[in-house]
Amino acid sequence: MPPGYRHILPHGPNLAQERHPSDRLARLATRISVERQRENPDIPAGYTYFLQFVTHDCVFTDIPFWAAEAAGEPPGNERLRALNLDTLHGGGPTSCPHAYVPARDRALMRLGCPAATAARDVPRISPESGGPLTDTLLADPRNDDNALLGQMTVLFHIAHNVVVGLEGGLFAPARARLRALYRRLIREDLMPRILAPEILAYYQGGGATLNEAHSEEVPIEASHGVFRVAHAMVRETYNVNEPAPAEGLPLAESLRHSAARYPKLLPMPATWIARWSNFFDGLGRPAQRAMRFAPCYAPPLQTASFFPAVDATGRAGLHYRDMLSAEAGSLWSLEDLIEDMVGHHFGKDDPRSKALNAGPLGTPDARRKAMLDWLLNDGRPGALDSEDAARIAADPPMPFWLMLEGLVAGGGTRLGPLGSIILAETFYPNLNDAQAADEAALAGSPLGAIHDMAGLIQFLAAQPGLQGATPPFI
Amino acid sequence: MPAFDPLNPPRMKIDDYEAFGKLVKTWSTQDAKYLGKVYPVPRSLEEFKAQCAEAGVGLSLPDFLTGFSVSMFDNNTVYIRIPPKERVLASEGKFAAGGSYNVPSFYGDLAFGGATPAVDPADRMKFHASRIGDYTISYCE
Repeated sequence: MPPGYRHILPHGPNLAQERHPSDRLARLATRISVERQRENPDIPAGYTYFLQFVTHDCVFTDIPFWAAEAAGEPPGNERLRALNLDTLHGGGPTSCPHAYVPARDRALMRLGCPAATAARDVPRISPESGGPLTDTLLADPRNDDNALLGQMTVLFHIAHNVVVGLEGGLFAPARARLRALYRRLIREDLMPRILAPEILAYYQGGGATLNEAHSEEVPIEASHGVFRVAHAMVRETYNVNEPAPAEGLPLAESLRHSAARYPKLLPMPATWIARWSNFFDGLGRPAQRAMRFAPCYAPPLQTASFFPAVDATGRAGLHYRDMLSAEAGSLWSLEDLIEDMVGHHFGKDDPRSKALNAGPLGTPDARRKAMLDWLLNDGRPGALDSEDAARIAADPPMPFWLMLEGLVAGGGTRLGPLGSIILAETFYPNLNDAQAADEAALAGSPLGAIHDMAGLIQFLAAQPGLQGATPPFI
Repeated sequence: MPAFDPLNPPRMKIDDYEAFGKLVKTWSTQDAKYLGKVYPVPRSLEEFKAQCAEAGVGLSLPDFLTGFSVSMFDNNTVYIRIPPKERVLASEGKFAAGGSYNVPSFYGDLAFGGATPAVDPADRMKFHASRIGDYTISYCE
């Protein structure tokens, strides 16, 4: 197992099991590409980017699994403290000074100025005077991957700076306080929207986790399985602020507006500065929605424009890379994992076992049939042939299964039971470990009244500089 | 996907013009050199969608687009493509309201303001494929 990773269950998968050749995964990617996305009525679009931000706080891999063999370098997770807000703060001003304003002991985080408006953008600079803004001044430059993730990161930069003001200008107590709030937002706002209700009830109710202790390692079934399911949530177009084109702004432009991809498009046009009521409910009007959990990706994510081909199949796209990485990661096989969870770890009366053994996907045959039905797609163009379909249904790449599980078990509005268990087993050991300290840190603070993203945004909107801002903050 | 609005008709969109242009070149030449295999000219919308999916075009189609027609041009015929009236009027309305004329981003990246000073043959080929991809699906409106 690469450093920084572990398996979701204590012993590893059966490595003798056949894995899929890349040309079969390319055909699976084609089947995924012909599927159409549908909106998820239950999840506002902003949670897509909050979740991406949170996953960046769990995993930092400098080389993808699919590239490791060719590069001759083993991959490893360098994020040593998951859910610690290190994706925002890095190691703090001493080890990560570029992310902080060089004044007042570097307590404040930098903000960038988008074109013709106030400081609400990712901070970036050019190494040459007047040159393109190629260098991102974030602790975790991956948070400049796209304009909307950048906006989510900026929201937390603003929050940090406000909390520094509450803490007498001191960095360390502000960081501790914001971390406590951030974990509360994951516990109370993000998890209830993502997890299957019965799995949420088990873990929120204090149910035991497989790893009772805080863990520094991330299950590879999460990093290369359930985290990838979030890619299905990404929309093809977004309403960012007003006035905006009726059809919205294209995702492709969000991806292009990043220092790593097209620095010549920066500084960020004001059109990409988030009006947060477009992204979260509870801010005066209904927000646009994320897309459903399903084996389906927004069209720009399927192209070589942003995710070029990486192997001899010539298959481009994030959907193909997700399947490729899962295969390279040697994750648990689906049926072995469920059998081991139920038979050896949970017991048959555990609510998690009941969730895995109930509903339309409650047996191995039902799961295999659901996959075959979807893969064969009544023989429509893009469908897999019967041999490919049978082999994938016998041992599916984990991201594919968890997307399909979400679609079939919960109509695509939430993760299915296995996806929920993997995500919960990744987050709750750390969340539970920190909960008492987090609540103590928030007691008596103005942050203590905040329990969801809408509350955080409303709290920040009341601060000087954001009232009456253009574009509007809410 | 929005429903059909005659004043603001949603469009068929592709996200990788170069990939689509290579697919069109393949249909035209029946040569595998562009995408690693030969694709037959599609005979149905579903076949078209599947080929686009396999070629990584990043296609999205509004729900109201249910018909499908392929025009194979020859060298000896003048072809005049007349856009639907609704699209012409919608464009006029958009510009009258201050809307801007949007062209695909590859023009800026590869040909105009964003082109590198030394455009190499690979860039020219990329632009060629992207341009074919654009004008194959676009109306002049």
